[in-house]
Amino acid sequence: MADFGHIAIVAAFVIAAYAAIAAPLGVQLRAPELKASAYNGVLGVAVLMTVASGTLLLAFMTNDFSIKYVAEHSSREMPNSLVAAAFYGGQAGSLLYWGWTLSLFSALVAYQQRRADSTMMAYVHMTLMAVMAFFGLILGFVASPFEKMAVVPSNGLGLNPLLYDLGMLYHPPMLLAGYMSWTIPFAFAVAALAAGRLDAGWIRTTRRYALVAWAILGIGNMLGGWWAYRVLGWGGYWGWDPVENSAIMPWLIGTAFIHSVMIQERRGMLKVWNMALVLVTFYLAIFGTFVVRSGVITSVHSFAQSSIGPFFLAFLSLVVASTLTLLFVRLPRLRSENQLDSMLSREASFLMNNLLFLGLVFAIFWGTIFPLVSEAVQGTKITVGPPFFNQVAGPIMIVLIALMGVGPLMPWRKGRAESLIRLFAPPVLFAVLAAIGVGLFKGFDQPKALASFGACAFVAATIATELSKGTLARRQATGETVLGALGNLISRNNRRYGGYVVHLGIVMIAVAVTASSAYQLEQSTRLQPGASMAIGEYRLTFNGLRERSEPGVRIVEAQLAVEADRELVGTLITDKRFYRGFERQPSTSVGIRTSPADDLYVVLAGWEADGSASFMVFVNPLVIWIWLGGIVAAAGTLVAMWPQPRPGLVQVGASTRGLAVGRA
Amino acid sequence: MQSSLPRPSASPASPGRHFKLLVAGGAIVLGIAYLIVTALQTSTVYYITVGELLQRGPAGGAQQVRLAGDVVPGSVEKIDAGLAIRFLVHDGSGQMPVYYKGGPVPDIFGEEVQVVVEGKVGPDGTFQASTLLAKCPSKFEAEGAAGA
Repeated sequence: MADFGHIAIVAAFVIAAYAAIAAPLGVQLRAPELKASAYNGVLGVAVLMTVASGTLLLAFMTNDFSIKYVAEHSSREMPNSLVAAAFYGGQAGSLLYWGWTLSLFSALVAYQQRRADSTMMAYVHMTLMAVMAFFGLILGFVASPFEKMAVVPSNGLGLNPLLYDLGMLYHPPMLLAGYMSWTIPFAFAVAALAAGRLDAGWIRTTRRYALVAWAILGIGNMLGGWWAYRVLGWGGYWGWDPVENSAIMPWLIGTAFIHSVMIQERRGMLKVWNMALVLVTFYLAIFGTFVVRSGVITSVHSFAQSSIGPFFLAFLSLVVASTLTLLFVRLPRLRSENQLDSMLSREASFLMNNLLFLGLVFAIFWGTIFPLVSEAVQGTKITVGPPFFNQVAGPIMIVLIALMGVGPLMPWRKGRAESLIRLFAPPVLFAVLAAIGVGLFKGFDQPKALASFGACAFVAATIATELSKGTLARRQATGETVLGALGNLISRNNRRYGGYVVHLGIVMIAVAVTASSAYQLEQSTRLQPGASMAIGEYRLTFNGLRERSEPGVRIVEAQLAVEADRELVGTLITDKRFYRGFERQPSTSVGIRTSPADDLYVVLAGWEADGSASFMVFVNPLVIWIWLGGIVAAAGTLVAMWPQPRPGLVQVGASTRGLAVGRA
Repeated sequence: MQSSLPRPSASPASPGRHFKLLVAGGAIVLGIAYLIVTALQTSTVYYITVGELLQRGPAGGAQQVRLAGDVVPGSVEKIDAGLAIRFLVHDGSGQMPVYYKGGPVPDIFGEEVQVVVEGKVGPDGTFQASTLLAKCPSKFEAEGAAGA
C-alpha cells in the first residue's frame, strides 16, 4: 500500500513538472498539442493526487501501522471520526492535503476556463503545475507520508488528545485550503504578466477566484479562533502567536486586494499595485507554511521541526525573484489609464484602506520576525508579545472600520464636499451618541474601546441608511413590497449589497472582539464542595467531583450550578480526561454557557484529596457574535460572488446609488 | 509602492491633488510607524536561556524576560489544587526555580516538556512567571492548528 501511494505521488510530480514545462513551450513553439498535453497533465495530476490521498486514508482506516505516518498519528482505539483529523494531523499528511487540494483546484480551474484564451491559460497551467511540482518533490522525496516502519508496531501512538475535537475536522483543512487557494489568483497574475495580457480580462477572472480564496482563508482563521476558544482553556480566541499571524497576514493583504481590484475594474488604475498585492499574498501564504515548518520562530504551536524548512525558503526565494523580475519587465505595460480626480472619491478612500492594510500587515510581520532581526542585529533575542500587537493593530483596525463606512458611500471620481457632509452627518452623530452611550454604561476609562464601538456604530448606520434608501427608491419605482424590494435590491446588485452584508458581519465581529477584550472578567478560586463564588451577574456553586469512565478514557468532572441574577439557569460541567497512553497529560474540557450577552467560561484547574477543586472562571462579553458575524460575512461573500444572470440589470444598482447620493 | 500611485501628468489640477494624496498617505505611514515604535519601546522582552539568566546575577534579574528550558522531572508541585504551580526549568547551563500563578496551565505541560515562561526573578531567587507556554515537539504535532 505504501509503495502504491508513493508511486502515485512521484508520478504526479513527474507529470506536474512536465506540464509546467510543456505549457509555456507550447506557447513559444506555437504548438497547440503541447498546450493540450499540459492541460491533460493538470487533470492527470488531480487523479494521481486523489489516488495518493485515498491510499493514505485507506491506510488509516485499516490501521496499517507499517506506514510510519499512520503509526505515529493513529491508534486502534481512536474513534473513526478522527481518522480524517489524523490524516492532516502531522506534517507529511498536511502537505499531502495541501498538494491534493491544489491539484483539485487546478483541475477545476483548468476545466472551467478550458475555452478561455489558450495562451493565458497555458501560463496559468505552468504556474499551478510548478507549485504542484514543488509539493510533489517534497512529498515524494523529502517528507513522504508513505515512509515505512522498519518494524511494524502492533498499535499506533495515536493523536494527541488535545486534537480530539470536532474543530480539528474543520479548522486545519479549511485553513490549509485557504493558503492553497491563493495559488489560483497568483497563477492568473503570473500568467497575465507572462502572456502580456494585462487588460481588464485577467483581473475580472482573478477577482472571482480571489474572493473564493479570501473566503476560505477567512473561514479557516475564524474556525481556528473558535477551536482555540473551546479547547485551549485560556478564555481567548486569538493570541498573536507567530502561527496565527502567518495565517492572518495573507488574509489581510487579500482583503486589500479585493478592494483595490474594484478600482482597476472600474477606472483602469492601480495595475501594478494590484499585481503586487496578489503576488505578496501568495508569498505570505508560502511564508506562513515556512514559518510553521522551520522552527525559526518560537511558537506555542509545536510543530515537528524538520528538514523541509530550507526547501520552502529556497522555493519562496525563487518565486519572489522570478515573479518580481517578470513584474519589472512588464512595468511599462501596466500604466494607469486614469488618475485620481479628487481626495473626496471612492478611489482615494480605497487607497487609504490599502495603505492601512499594508501598514497593519507590516506591523504584524515586523513583530513576528522581530526575534530573528534582533538576534541578527544585536546578538540577543528580543520578543514582542500580544501587548505589542494589540497596541499597534487596535488603532489601525479602528480607522479601517471607520473607512468601511466611508468607502462605499463615496462616489467614484469626485464628490462634492457639501453633499458628503450632509450624507455623513447623521451616521457620525449616531456614532458619537453610541460611543457616549456605551461610556455612560461601562465607564470612560477605555477610550479605545469606545472609539471602536463608535466606528462600528458609524458603519452600521451607513449600511442601514443605504439599504433603506435603496429599498425605498426601488419600492417607489416598482411598487414592490418592502421585503420584495429589499430582496430584489440585493439580488440585482449582488456585488454591492453582498459587500454590505460582509461589512455588517465584520462590524458584528469588531463589536464582539472589542467587548470581549475590553470588558472580560476573570477570577480564579478554590472551592470546597457546596461552596459558591460570584462573578459579574453570575453565581457558581460547586456540586462536587465525579469520576467516570468511557472506553479508552477516565474522566474526572466537576459540576457547578449556575445562577444568573439569583435565578438558577443551569449546570456547567468542566472535566479533565485521561486518555489511555496519555495519562500524564490530561486534556481539559472547558465548560461554556453561551448567551447573547456573554459566555460564562469555566475551566477545571485541579483538585485536592479533600474534594476541593480550583477553577478559572471568565465572563466573556458578546463572544457568540464573533461566530455569528463570521457566518454573516461568509453569507455576504456568497451573495457577492453569486453569478449575475442578467448583467444588463446591474445598472439599476448604479442608478439608485447615484440617486441616493444626488438627493443627499 | 510609489509606482502604482497615479502618475502625475499634464492634466491641469493634478499636482495639487497629488500633493493631498501624498499628505494623507504620508500621515498614515507616519502614524503606523509611530504606533510601531512606541509599542516596541514598551513591550519588548528579552528571550534568554537559564544560563544567561543565572549569569546576570541578582541585579539583572529584576527585568521582565522570557525564559526557555525543560521542566526537571519530579520537580512539578501543584499548589492550591492547581491554581499555582512550582517547578524547576533547566537547560544545559543550569536550572532555575519557577513559580507560576494567575493563568491556565496548558494541558501539554508536564515533566521534561519544553516550556517558555515570562516574568522576572523575585527577591527569593524564584522566577515569578506570569505566562507559561508549553511545547512538546516529540509527541505533539498540531499541524495547522493556527488558532491557539
